[in-house]
Amino acid sequence: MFPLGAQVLGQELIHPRDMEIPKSKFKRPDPAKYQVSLDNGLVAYVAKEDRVPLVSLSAFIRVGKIDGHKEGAAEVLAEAFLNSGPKNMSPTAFKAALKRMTARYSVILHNKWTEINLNVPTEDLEEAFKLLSAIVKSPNITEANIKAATEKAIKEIEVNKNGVIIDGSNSVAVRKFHDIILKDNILGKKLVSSDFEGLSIHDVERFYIAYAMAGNMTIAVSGDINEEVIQKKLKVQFSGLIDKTPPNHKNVPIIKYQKNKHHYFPADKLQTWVVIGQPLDQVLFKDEAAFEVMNYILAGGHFWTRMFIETRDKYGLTNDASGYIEDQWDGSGSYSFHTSSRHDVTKQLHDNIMDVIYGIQKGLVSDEELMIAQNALADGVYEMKFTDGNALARSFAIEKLRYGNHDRSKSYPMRIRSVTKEDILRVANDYMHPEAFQVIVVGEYTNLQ
Amino acid sequence: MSYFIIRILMTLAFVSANATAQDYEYDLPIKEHIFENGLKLLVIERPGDTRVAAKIWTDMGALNEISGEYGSAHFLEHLMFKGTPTLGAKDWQTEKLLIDEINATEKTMIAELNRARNDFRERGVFHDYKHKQTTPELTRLQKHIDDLERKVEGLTDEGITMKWYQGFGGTRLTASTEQEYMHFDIELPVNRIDIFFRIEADRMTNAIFRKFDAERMILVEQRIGFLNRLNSRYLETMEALVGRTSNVYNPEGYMTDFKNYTRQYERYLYDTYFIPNNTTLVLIGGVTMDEMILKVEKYFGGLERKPEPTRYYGQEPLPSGEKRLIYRDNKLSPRVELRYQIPGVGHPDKPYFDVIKEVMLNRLQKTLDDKEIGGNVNVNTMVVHTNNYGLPSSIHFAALYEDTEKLDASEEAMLAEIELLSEENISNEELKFAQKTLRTEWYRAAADPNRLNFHIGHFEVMDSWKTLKPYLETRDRTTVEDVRRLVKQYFIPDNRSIGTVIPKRASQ
Repeated sequence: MFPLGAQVLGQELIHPRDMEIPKSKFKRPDPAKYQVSLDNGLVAYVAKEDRVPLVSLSAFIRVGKIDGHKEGAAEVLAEAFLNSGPKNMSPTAFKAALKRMTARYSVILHNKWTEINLNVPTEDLEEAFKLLSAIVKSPNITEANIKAATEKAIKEIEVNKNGVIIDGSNSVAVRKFHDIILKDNILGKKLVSSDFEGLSIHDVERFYIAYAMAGNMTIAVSGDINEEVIQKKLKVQFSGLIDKTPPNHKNVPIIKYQKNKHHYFPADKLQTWVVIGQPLDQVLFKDEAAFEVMNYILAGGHFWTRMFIETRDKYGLTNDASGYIEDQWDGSGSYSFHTSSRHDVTKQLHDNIMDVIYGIQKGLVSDEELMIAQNALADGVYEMKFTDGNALARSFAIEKLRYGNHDRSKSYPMRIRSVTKEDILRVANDYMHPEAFQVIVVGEYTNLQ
Repeated sequence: MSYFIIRILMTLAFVSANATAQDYEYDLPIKEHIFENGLKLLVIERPGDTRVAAKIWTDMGALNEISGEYGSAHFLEHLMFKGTPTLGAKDWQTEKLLIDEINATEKTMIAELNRARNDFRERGVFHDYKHKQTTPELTRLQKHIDDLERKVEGLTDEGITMKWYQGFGGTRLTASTEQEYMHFDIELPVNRIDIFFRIEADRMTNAIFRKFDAERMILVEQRIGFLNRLNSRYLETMEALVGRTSNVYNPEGYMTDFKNYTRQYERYLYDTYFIPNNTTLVLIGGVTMDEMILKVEKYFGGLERKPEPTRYYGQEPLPSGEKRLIYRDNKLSPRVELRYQIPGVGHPDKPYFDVIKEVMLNRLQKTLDDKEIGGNVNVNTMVVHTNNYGLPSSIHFAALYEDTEKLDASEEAMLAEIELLSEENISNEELKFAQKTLRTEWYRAAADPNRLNFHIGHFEVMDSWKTLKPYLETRDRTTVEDVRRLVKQYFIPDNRSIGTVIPKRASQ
């Protein structure tokens, strides 16, 4: 007991280390209970979640930026999904329908897949279901989509006449990082106006037809629904999708490592943004869990990481310093650390980040670090993926699209809990290569060498 | 050991099991229990949920700050992550001696600052003149504190509260301080809720302000991160134009405020407001009230009721004249913006303004488009970071442009459109659509236990959790006559502030 007076004496102040951590009662829901398979090969996940009268509808298609023979086709298709809607209505009518339903609607184009998300009140389920299925089955690709996609794709980071970035930010630094490490790789392709000049509506339609196959997408429906009714609707609306094998997805060449280098981009702001990172070889299945635990301890995007403590908590150098794994679905991606600071401490911030990176490559993590990370991932992050009907329908649909089954989510807690301190040390050295780090500085020049 | 007796007979607010369609929309089966020491517990039981969203709310925030130390409530939130004698201390006996010496040294520093206060007074408009920047004594004292802090560092375990929350499977760990509240948040597996009570009871009672000066720099980082956004300075200037005395309109500290924070003042805020009779726990998930009462008693039962803190009773003077801001900036989109003060949550008129906001968002864009004035229209009630206050704040109508050509016409058209609301009937269709939009927004919030928890706690500090449901229902009952009445009453020239953003002239 600590001599702090009566106030403390009246409290239960057992140290958390000495508290019992009850075994989690969570069990991942059985995906088979939610799965609906149509004869054409389309798989959907239907989950009731009726606390509020809302419904979420999502389509996940395995086609992304890198696919197709014509550059820009994926970008235009995404633009059509987002702004034009289906062929059976005008873009104006499509926008009006979304507004009338008070819908939340988004289309996200990833490198290797695309997601379409629609959330509406239950009273609009009928209309929303037809709308989403019509968008997926027959998107209204227009010249306006090509124009809009062109403008987005060729938008450059603005600089003034002295070459200084006008609106520096973390996203600018990350974009520069990608430009550097993905140079000459398909993941880093830079579209130019001429890509779109040679692109016709017909080209984009061919691209769409090639990939929008029943077996190349999954659907998630959740919310205040009657599951049986939804199953019937799925059959009515999606049975017409063709069951054909899509073209082979492009192989992404291994991203080449480059010799460690610092890249400076001046920006006129009160802070300097720093991205430190490298290409990341495809993490082998046997190493996935260890790599995730290693990143959690090192810099995993939450408050208690080595990087956060050694930059923010102890020295007040930054508001955030965190690690980001860019996983590119069956191929190499990147691993980077993002931070920002007032100009005068950028050097110290950089050095502290490098120190913790070298540190995790040199010695074993502690038992407590390992236990905390394993519990956080296996009982926290994992549970949240299935915390309600909306979350589980989405998680299962994406997992099925990516892996074709649900083995990974089933074995995740076991794999996380099997990670040893030695595993972490090994993956920290196998996958992290400071000698290949590219260091991007957006802001005021600081000699970081 | 328990030092108090639970009051068994407490309000239990249920929605009837025979819920009507309307009830279903705003289903808020909140149970309330108030403990002997004044601590309030609100629970929504969701049988079968494997997790629980937990927040601890303290009825204090920027409203309780004084000029020159804006942001000190937010800073206190940061300091409260630094642990306690039982969380983070490796050798508390030794550390305590050092901390006592730090506090004593700071007292000497404050005395020295007071003695030489006229030397340190900032006298320039652009903060460019003081008689002195420091004194040898101040420099010596600061160095002594720095040395002591370094010694403390070797005796502490950083990040301790976050660490154990994460170790117990906690997610969405965060905290927030705004004008009216501070809250700490976590989502946990239901059977691990004890760690929430263990940490929070300790945090609200025994916080040690470790790494004070390093943490001060985090606020600087956050401030300059905010100022990096192109429109931040404009928004703050506009907010300052609208209000005269209310702390609702103050930012989370100007750059000149951060250096003024002292342990002594932070300790005053902490001791005054972090008491059980100023605290509300809100839990939503697979827990029951009966079980939680026992657990809360175990961890918070030893805390004594304390004297009621001084409250903020500031009142804005009556609006008495139209105000205008001309803001010159070359990076910011030209715009014209109209702001009117509106009542705070708890006032019977407040819910209607949510409906007016939605109606006007649709109307203004259409009107400006029809008149070929175009622009990007925005209607909102966001002041600082928050949409709702228990005090008067403001509603904003803005149109942004690529150049200044249409600003005058836009202002004229927006004023005319607002005027029309008091004369012309809004169609039933417009009204119903606005209400549907608001309902859908609410559903999206209520679907997420974390966001629902926020709304309940926020209402509790602004007014009462009991007024949340009536507030939502009033929005649905809003009539055309309600809108006309309020437009006539509130949207008058004397209650108006107009902001215009234009580029600087070449010579400026």
